[in-house]
Amino acid sequence: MLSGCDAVTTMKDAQKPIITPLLPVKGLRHDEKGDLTADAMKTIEDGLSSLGINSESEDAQNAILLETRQALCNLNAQYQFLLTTFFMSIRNSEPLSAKVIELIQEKNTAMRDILSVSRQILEKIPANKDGKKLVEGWTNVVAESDSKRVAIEGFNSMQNRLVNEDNLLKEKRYSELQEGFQGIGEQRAFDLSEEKTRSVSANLALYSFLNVIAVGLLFYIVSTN
Amino acid sequence: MATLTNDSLKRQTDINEWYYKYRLDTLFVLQILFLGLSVLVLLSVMSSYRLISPMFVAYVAVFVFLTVFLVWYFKYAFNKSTRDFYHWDKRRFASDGNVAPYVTAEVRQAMTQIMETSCPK
Repeated sequence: MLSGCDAVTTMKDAQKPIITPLLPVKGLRHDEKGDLTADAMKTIEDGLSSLGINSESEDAQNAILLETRQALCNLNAQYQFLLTTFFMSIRNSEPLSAKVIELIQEKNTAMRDILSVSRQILEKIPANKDGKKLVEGWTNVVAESDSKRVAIEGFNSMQNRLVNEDNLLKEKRYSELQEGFQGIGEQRAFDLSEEKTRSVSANLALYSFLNVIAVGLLFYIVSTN
Repeated sequence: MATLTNDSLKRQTDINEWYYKYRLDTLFVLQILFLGLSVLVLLSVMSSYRLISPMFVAYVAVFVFLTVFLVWYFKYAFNKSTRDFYHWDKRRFASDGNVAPYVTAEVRQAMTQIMETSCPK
């Protein structure tokens, strides 16, 4: 879902606020599950309405989802950079910066809010059967018979991960947080290595076939002479 | 300490990377062979139209097959004798495995005590 986003490489970039109409104000209220409450959702919908966006229409919903992806991309890049900085401080036995921890929590909450908004908007869209809707702009959403369900599952799994990371940070269980963070990188490296092996195997099969054809052709030409 | 899952993933990634490079190496030999065969096919067609001598085609064929064989043999010998078993881009050195493993002073002391207890002078 978040592949192909620009990476953040400096602390200055990581601290920049992400401006999006999906998070018009700070301090939105959350329920016990970490979801935005109905009144917070109403505030966001009012903000969208004031921009002339009617979240009931299909085109507006698709535009909102594209905006969601962009905002999540930027926030996630900042979040990953801040976590990497944080883990480097732990590894170098440096004092942990309260500001960095606060920024990590802030980015985590902002991402969860955006996921919450997207999920609640998505839940208003009727389930489609052709698998075409919502696929555009969402690189990893599989075009299954019910893409809405797949997208919601993706949101839920990401939100659960963020909630878990937030809890680990609050409880100062940094080693577990780091393990999970490394696990994501290792999973990605594993997926890439699988894909590379598949690609080179396909090329190998192609060249084996071409060589067989070339040998056959050579024998044919030599035998006819 | 990393979990078993993370370790397994890391090792499987290493294995995949090794096989990827190995297949890439084989692909290189197959591509050289294909190029050589394509040239031979072209020359054979020209020879069948009496544009070039069949002996010239035979000489080129010997050169092509010898080159492909030498490329393959060099890679095979290098993989067998020099390349590391775990990391494709790493080479093995003659001294590898001959260096005594590092043992801490505490472990050495404990081992000496065990030896002295079990084999008294």
